[in-house]
Amino acid sequence: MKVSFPFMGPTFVYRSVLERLGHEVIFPNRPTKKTIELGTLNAPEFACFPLKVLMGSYLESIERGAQVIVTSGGVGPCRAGWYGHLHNRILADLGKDVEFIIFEPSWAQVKKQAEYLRGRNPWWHLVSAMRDGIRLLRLYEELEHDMQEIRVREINRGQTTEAWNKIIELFTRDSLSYIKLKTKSKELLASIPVDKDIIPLKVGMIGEIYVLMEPSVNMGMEERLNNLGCVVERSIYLYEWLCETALPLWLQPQNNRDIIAKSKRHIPLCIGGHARQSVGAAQNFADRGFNGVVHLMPFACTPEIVTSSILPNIARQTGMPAITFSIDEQTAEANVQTRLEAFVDLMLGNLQEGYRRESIYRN
Amino acid sequence: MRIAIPAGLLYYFYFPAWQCFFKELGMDVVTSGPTTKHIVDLGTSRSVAEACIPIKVYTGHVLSLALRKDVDALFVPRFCSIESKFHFCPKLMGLPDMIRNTVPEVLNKTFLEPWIKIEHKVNELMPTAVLVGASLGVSAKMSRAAFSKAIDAYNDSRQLALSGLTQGELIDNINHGRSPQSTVSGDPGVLRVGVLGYAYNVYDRFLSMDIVNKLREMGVFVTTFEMIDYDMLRKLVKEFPKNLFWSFSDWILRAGSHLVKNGAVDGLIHVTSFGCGPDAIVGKMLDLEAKKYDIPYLTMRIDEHTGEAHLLTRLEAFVDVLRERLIRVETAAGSEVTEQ
Repeated sequence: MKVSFPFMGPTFVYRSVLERLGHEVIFPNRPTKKTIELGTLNAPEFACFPLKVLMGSYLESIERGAQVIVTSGGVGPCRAGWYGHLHNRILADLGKDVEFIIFEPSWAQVKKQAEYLRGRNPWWHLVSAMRDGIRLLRLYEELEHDMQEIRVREINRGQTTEAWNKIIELFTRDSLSYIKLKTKSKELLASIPVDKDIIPLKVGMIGEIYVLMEPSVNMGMEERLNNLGCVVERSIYLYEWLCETALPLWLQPQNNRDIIAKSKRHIPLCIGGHARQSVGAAQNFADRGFNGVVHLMPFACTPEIVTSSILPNIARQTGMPAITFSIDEQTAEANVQTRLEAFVDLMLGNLQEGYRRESIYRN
Repeated sequence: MRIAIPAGLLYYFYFPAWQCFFKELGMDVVTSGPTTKHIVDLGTSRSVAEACIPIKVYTGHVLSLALRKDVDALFVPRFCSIESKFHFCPKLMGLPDMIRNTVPEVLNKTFLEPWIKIEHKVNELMPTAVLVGASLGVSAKMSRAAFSKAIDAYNDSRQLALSGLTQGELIDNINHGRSPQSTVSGDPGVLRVGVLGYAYNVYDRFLSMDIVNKLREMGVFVTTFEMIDYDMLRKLVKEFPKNLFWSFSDWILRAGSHLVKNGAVDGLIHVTSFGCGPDAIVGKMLDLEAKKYDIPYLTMRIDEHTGEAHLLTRLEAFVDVLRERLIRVETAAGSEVTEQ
């Protein structure tokens, strides 16, 4: 059976796990304008943007021979919990013969699905495949963090992105051992000439997981911000998200617990999606002296509408500016760039007034 | 003390119970009245641009009440769940949080934001009711009695709805002090249309332009979701791989599926608001269900810019299509008979 999966963030990790278990993987293409068009055509008009992108992405993978799609489910209240079933129904209506493996957050279900993916392999095989996958993921996220610090200080604009694409290529080709991959990537990053005197602005990025993590969907928001002289920290990293979905709160990384604690004041319960994390993270970024917060949401995302209602007040109370970008197939690059530039000017203006200057230069 | 209840969102479903509860507590209950252009403008001025229209309208209702001097307390409940494994739309679950941030004026009044969170039976709400009573200075005993009465009022309203009264007519009866009566309007023998949509979209006369009565004036027999018992639907409609985890959305989807499957309607209209999250899924599923059983399906999407002429034209066109279809089917059946 040829297996495929949604395209989000470091996709090669999923592939590495599935291939270790002996499945033939159809690696999904990076979403392009065409993918989005294809998805928009077949998805409901008011479905949120990730559903449309995934719709297009699945259709492209099916074209290339995918027979099984592995994805996550959910029990609400966010719409994402029904994506799998809706995609399944729409694809059936389009006459596509494809099977869905949907990971629902219940042990019985997870066990059943894991059993299916495991096939004839022994259980420890699944465990070690997942452990290696997570190790790969952690390496990727560490490199990503280093890369940002370099990109914001690079002397020749574009050099880091070039090197980074090479690194992604290395990860995707999956021909090197873990150690080699690590040293090769670090070498590539170290070879970039940087201006060490630059003190970048610190910007937090919050919002819905898909538009936050996937640069091809959020128009390379992080790269844009780096090029404007800001280092970006997201409220969600894939590793932390996996911990969040798999572990009880007290076993999660410290950062996750801080965010939940700080969200209590604004939203006292989980209302679905990442609204609570977004609000908590915004408060957390403000407390840590960040210069601003960029909020990304798919157009009409229900939980994030609650976030964007609360965010202006957090900004007012803490003096940290915030901006919301609502992203869908209509979002234009020029619009995003202009608004970002204005936002960076605003943050710089705050600095020149001596406002919160101390906290910036202390680093 | 005067309690103000904003006339938006689940007011259209639970007002009979809420009104009974606060009346029993000895409070004076006022509502913000029907939605007007002014209220919509108030709401759009405060809420996030891409929030759905019912949220904007609700914000407008809250603001209009918060600005009134003769109001002491505002009732903005947080709807979490009414049964286990079901939720409400994230916007309803975070409603008081949103309102506190977009309409800070509410904090000048007693802001009642009880958590409506039921896992198994409605009595789990008793402590919440006592808390609400306590914040209004009423004894626990009285609150408990009022709560039981409110449950009775709710059950009565459900009985009336099941007998064919729309939720809109129910609320009208209460507001005009008319005695509740069940009257089935229209003749089911003519043309039957299912009108599915959340109570706050369908029965807000300003938003939906009174779609139910418009259809009735055209001689259509209308069935809505609240006329079908939810527990019965859960037993009858089983083909979905998992529950749609929003209570009312699941109800509507099952009602739609039930209606088209049993041929209980000649056409289906889904009334939804611009940017409604759950309805993006409900709408598509209804569309696919209707397609499966070859029933014409119409999406009526409303927002603050909807014009009455536009809505009426589309309704008339849809009803014409249904009539044509019926005549075609009848003549086809007739010709079959003559051939034999």
